[in-house]
Amino acid sequence: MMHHTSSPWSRRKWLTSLAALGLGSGFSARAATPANAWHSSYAPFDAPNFAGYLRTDRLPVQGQLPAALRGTLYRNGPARFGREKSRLTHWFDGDGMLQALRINDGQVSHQGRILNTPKTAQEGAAGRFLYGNFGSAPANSLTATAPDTINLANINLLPMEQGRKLYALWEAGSALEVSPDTLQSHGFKVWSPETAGAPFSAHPRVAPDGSVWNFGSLVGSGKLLIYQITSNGQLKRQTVISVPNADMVHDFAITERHLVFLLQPLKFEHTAEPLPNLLAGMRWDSQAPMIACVVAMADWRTTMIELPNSGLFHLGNAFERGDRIHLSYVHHHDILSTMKSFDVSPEASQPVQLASVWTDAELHPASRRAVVHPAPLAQVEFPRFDLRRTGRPQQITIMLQRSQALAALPVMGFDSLVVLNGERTERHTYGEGWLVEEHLYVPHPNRTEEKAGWVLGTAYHWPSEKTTLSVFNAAQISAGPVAQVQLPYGLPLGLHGQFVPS
Amino acid sequence: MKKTTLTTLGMLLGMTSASMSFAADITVEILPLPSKEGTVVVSLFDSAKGFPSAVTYGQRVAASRQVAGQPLRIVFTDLPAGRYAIVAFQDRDGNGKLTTNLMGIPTEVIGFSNKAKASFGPPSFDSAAIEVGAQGATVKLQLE
Repeated sequence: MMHHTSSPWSRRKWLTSLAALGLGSGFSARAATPANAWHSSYAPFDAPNFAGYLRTDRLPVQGQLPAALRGTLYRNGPARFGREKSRLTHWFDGDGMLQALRINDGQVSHQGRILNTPKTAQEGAAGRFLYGNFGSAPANSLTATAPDTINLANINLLPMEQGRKLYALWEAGSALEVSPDTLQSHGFKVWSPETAGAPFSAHPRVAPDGSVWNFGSLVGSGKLLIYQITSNGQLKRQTVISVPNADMVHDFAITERHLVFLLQPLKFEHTAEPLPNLLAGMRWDSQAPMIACVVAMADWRTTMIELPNSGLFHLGNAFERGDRIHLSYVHHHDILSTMKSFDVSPEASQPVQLASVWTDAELHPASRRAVVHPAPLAQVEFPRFDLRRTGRPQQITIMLQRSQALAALPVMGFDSLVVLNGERTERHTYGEGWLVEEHLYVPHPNRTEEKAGWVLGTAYHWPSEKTTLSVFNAAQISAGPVAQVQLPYGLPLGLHGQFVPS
Repeated sequence: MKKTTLTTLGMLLGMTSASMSFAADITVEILPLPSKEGTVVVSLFDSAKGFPSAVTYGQRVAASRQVAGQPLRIVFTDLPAGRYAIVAFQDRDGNGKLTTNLMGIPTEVIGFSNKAKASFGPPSFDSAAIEVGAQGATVKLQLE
């Protein structure tokens, strides 16, 4: 790996000397190539002269922002992969950074901050990365004794109490409380003494009554910890259930009466010697079924149903009709290879691996049977929908798609937005040089119908190394964005976001 | 109870066969604790049996006895030479055992000899074991 480090160091020296000459900051105009597109989005945040905070007010708006669209798009994701001479290589392992894109009265501002955690404090003092994590293995790494020692808080966000509270989420440890205004970290949330320091997953689901449902899974435990939290942030119930295939559970879904977990046959194998990271111990069983675990909200009664073999990160919505549970998910054919290909090194050499299909499933818990329908929609990820309809039927599902044109390049990720609207499929392709981040549905504040809402999301343009926010009318995606806001810099290619209306 | 009896019996047999090499002391030095609450519970094991929870040799010391800037010392005396593993935790809530959350992750600070670390469960006896000769040993433990 050593030969990989010469390039960024000479590049960083070049940037630093430019800054010293007053010719530019770490965010000067550059041109990345497909092979280092991902790395180029992170490099500014590794630079020793980056203070960990960015802010720009009154960003230029192209097009017309809808007058009723007011609020903040918060986004989370890994950002810092380099510290002095140590480097993390896996997409999931960078220190978390929050972005806040605030839209009010036709004005848009941006604020970004690297999150402070016990890990960033310890590694900041050491001047290097000290821990392997999901897929990286820095030299001379230490063994973490508790999940929160290496909590990156870098996957998603949970806004609560009308946006007065905000939590940055990882999946193997506690939720990190952050200020919605300053984005500063305020320590790990303890929901109850029994769950202190326990995993709190990055994909909680919020029922229409405001109840927050979440789970925690811990590699090797064979258990899921389930949380029910009231809309005002009090833990109402907690329980632990034993399940098969609990080594990587990233997401789940809720209906009006049930929680649904899709448990993939991805197993962590213990070894006598400590492993450099989690991924090194993962084994994929291509013959084993995926298990749907249906948990009754009322009494935690569980029903296990076998589904065809599948890897999984994300589910769409779920709902009940009669005695059946309908749900959708992004099926991954070979998720272990896909995860191993998420290399964000300066000269990533891993071939891109993605084989995903949008899939509908119908579960019949009484007979423990399931019917699965793959949709004619492949190379997709990051499904989102109208959160007012969580656990109820909905019309619109938003996803990202990887086009044939992007697939021909040595760069991972997505370049298109695809929206399922009932029977219709609409697409917007950003085009050459763009990597699209999760786009989410934002409801119109005064209208209940889904078609009245908007779709918001960011995309990174690697030739200019800048990020743009786009706003679409949810019912007219193919018409392209109604407004776009270009930032004067690029943001680190991240994971998930949430919109908080104001 | 049966387990403890058997372990004690094993200890007695071991002591009889190794009676010529008695008198080794193990001094455990607990490096500065994050707080002075509760009790420090130190346990000594001479085999993998029961490690790290079913204690044969144990000592308890009030955390408040730690003097600022100095380690807290606990001595196990008159042991036969051999392999030993030591585990210590700070029983802050006074329930007499290592408190964990619902997923089994300790919520009290804990440390093992030989700088062994918990990783998806406690370390093995072998990874925490140290060789103690007739002259005894001093073992430093950082609870974290």
